Amino acid sequence: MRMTMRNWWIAAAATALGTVAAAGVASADLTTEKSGSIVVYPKVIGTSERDTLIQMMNTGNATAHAHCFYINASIRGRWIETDFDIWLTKQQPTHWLARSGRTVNFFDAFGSDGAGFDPGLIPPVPLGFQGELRCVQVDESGAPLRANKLKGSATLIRIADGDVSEYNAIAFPGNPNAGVGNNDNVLDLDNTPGHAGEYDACPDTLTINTFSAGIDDPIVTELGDCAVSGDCPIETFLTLVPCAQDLERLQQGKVTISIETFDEFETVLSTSITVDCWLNASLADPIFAGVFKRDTLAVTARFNPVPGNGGVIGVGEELRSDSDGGLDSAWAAYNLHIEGNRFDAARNVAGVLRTALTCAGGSNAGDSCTDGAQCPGGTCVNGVLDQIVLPEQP
Amino acid sequence: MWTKASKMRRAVTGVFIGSVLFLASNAGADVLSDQSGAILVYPKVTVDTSGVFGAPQDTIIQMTNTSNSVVSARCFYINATGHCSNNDEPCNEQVACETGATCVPQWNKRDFRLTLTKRQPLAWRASEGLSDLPCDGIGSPDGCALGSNIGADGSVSSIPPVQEDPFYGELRCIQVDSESFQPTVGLNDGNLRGGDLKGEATIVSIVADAPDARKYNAVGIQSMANNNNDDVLQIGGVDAEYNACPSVLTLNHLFEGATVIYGAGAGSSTVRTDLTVVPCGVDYLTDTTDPIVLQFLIFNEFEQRFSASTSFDCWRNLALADVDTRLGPFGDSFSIFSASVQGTLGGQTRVRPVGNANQSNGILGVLDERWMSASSGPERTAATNVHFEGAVSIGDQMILSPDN
Repeated sequence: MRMTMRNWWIAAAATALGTVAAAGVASADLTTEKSGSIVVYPKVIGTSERDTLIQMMNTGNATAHAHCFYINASIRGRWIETDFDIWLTKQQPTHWLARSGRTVNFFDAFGSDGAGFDPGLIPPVPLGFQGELRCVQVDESGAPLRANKLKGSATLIRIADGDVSEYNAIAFPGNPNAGVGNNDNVLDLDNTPGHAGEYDACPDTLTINTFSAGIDDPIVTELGDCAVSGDCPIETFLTLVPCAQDLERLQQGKVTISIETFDEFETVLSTSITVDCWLNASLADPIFAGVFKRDTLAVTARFNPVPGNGGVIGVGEELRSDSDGGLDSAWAAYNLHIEGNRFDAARNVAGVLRTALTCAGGSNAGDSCTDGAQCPGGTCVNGVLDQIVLPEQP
Repeated sequence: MWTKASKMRRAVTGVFIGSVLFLASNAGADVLSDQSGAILVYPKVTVDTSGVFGAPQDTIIQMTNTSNSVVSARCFYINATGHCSNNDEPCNEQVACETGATCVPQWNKRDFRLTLTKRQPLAWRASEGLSDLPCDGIGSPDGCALGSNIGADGSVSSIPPVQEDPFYGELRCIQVDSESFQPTVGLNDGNLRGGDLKGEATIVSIVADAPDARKYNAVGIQSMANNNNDDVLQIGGVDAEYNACPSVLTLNHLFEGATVIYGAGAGSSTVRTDLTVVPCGVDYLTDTTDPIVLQFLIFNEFEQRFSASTSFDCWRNLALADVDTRLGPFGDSFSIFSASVQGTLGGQTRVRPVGNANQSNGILGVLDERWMSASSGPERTAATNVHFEGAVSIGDQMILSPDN
């Protein structure tokens, strides 16, 4: 009897603790509408045609520090990283233009562009920059800190006429629970509803609602200056970056993705592409093999990394033109939708859960497995462990 | 008298119950604009094809079934277009009525139902709707190979145009069972059955003969496991059927009249921002709403804090500078949202709805920015989804009108 009561207590206590632990990891998706500990701006442009306004906020009541990295992907095959530090006081918003950066100047005039507490010296990007900005919340020593106080947005500006489009930065919330992971320079994106990890895992599927490549915008066609059919197309650009990055060894993330597109008649077409560091391409580009060129206005697509590959994140941007073209056009950016997580619930492009299991992390990382015992120091999952490796700090 | 063992057992039981309640109160704490949901809210839909309020414009609505199953939805257009009290002319907070008349906002709905085949995307102009859906066998007699837009009960899907032109308001769709057309949980395990609808809205306008466009994601409210399928949707709180609405909206924005210099000095624009808010809780049965008070906390780049408040009934679109000054541009330079008052360009604003004993008065919203270039080009716009924080505690109710 005594043993039975003891077992009951243990079971109840374990259930309670398990429930609390589960609550701690219940929310395990990256987000474009909440603050996080890693924020990614997938599309930053600093060319003679377009500039980018970066806005970033500290949503907490304590000072927040961040280590930020510009990844310049403008030269194909060459990956250039520039990093800098910022710090934000309680609830402080800040902003800067990619092409101008932000200097530290205590004498900025009231109401001028640099007015306010300068967050630190932010370098300008080189002319012609196309790439991403990624910021990681750190503590005063520079060690990663999973405090989830950063959020932001980016506004892409066409310099000639001030046309703008805006998207929210993608945030990876960290798991602040003490005892989970460590604060080293290898950031594991492995926090999921089923696994208490460091940072929320990358999405398993990206879904995008778009329009048939090159189809005329119905509103511009009727209300605007649209002489003949085909003069007022909607051109959608997709920007994708791998979740994983090795900023210490400058190894580019590379992910192959299966794509399925559906039109309004339920017709399915599929193809695959490879994202090598940074991809920015029109859906009419030949790399998409015409799967977005359909007979209906609406098209939807699902992007799933192939087995063994990590996840990707990104944004979409649409360009609408009329018969005059040129500046008679307008950009509109938007965030992509996500589904599932890449770490412990990978699915194929048809939405079916994969069954092949692999060791994520540990001494047998990458090996096939059937249970956790075969993955010392790691976890047996059917997904992939994405990692962001930060450079060593002096 | 309690034994030591029974005290310990009660203590453990208390921890257990407490932790379960803790989980229950925290698990449903997300509305999302980047994942599919069982309730889809497009907070801002505008139609003004004749340019009564400014640039001619219309909205393209996109909606997709993200699951591998047939899903249905019941949708509601909410018309918040104002009309002048003396002559019924359309009006809004920016376009006033004649002297002596007031702009009377309205709140009326137009509902419709539709069925989407697996993974099917749809797009339509709000001013026109879609009388025939692609797979209903009407406009395209061959229909579709794998599914039909005809509901399981034989009902034809049809999307009507908005109630009037000009139109200002919102669109809200609720995922329902494709046979009973009653609210239901999602069908896709990939998103934990939180719901299968996702969407976007693109407001396209013609400004000085050139197109302008801004786009945002519809806000998805995800379903929880215990959906009782009736027409009273409990959003957050006790016995929640859907995730709770956020307790705070946080806005990244530039202060009103901020001048942004870009291209390393090659160009500059002056920026203004509009906020559109809608309540989470609505009553489509009696067509009534209660006023909701919004408290604003504003932080500038000096870490200085300001506050303001305003209220709204069912739908409101207002310039940030109009939160604390008279409507229109007249008092903007005195607003605490003014760049000339704050002294910095960037701001962060926390918007908190004030609840009462019965409901939390949760809100959802979207931001529009209007950029006016110094080089005298046309006004350009961008839309963005606002950020969310926390979850309201009491919850809100969405009461649907009968479907038959």
